[in-house]
Amino acid sequence: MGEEGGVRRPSWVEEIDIRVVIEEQRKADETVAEARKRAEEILEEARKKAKEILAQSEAVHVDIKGVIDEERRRVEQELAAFIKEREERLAGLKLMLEEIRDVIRRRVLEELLRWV
Amino acid sequence: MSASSLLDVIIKEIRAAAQEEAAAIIQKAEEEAKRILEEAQERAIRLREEKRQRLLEEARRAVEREFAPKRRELRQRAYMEQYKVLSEELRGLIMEVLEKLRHDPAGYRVYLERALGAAVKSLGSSIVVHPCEGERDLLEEVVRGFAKSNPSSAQISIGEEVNCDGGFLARTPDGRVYFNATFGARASEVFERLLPEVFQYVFSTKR
Repeated sequence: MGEEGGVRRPSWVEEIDIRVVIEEQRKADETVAEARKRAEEILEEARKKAKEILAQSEAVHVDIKGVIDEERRRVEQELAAFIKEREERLAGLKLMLEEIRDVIRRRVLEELLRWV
Repeated sequence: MSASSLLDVIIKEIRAAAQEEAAAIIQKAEEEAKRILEEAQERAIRLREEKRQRLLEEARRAVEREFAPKRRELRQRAYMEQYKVLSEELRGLIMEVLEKLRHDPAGYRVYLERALGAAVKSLGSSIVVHPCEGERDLLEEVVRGFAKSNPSSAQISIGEEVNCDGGFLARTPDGRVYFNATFGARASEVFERLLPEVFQYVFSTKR
């Protein structure tokens, strides 16, 4: 007949102090928990800084007066160019009318004699 | 292996595993923090730029509003100047051609004959034509010539002379319908008809 009471444990297991292992595991869990806490602090700090960065982005400095003055100058130049172009266009128009005077005269005579 | 050295190994293992996990947690947190800050920086840059652009746009729009009346006025003036130049030129040429026509007996006769044909066509079988002052004889001659070449045409009588500078005025005998073939009326008609044509011609061939 065999032994009673199930499997027999190796002799070295009986000699390991399980309380030491449990204590070490507790310390390990603490280390990990501390790391998690620190990680949360790091993230919290980052979120806080991110908020500050975004809040600062609201405070944009634009030299509105400078921009307006510059725009005014630009539009004034544009209008001056338009006036110059208008004068040139008008001179061109007069020149062209001179060139087509005979064509218009012919058309006038045609229309005068054409009764619809 | 003795029990004490085995315990040392287990303890070392437990510590090493804990250190490793803790380091990984911290590293992950630091990477996440870095990402959060980078995103915030990028977003801040974008927001700043958007706001800057918005402010610039507002400033530009304000200036545009300020100059809009002046711009409009200049465009209108440019258009009016062109219209004035073109219309004066056309009126001048119409007057010039009419003047030439008036002093060209053959041409003037052609004008009167055609105008008479148009008057008959417009007013019907019986009409009265009023010559311009001093042109009764000429118009009578034209009417005779017209009746001769159009025997079955209308009955045309000559009325009293009217104050005009070329052409004639025709009407039905009861005076209810008029046909204005005077140079003055004709100049206006031709002007209205030719002005768009001249505009189109000039602006489509303009260099």
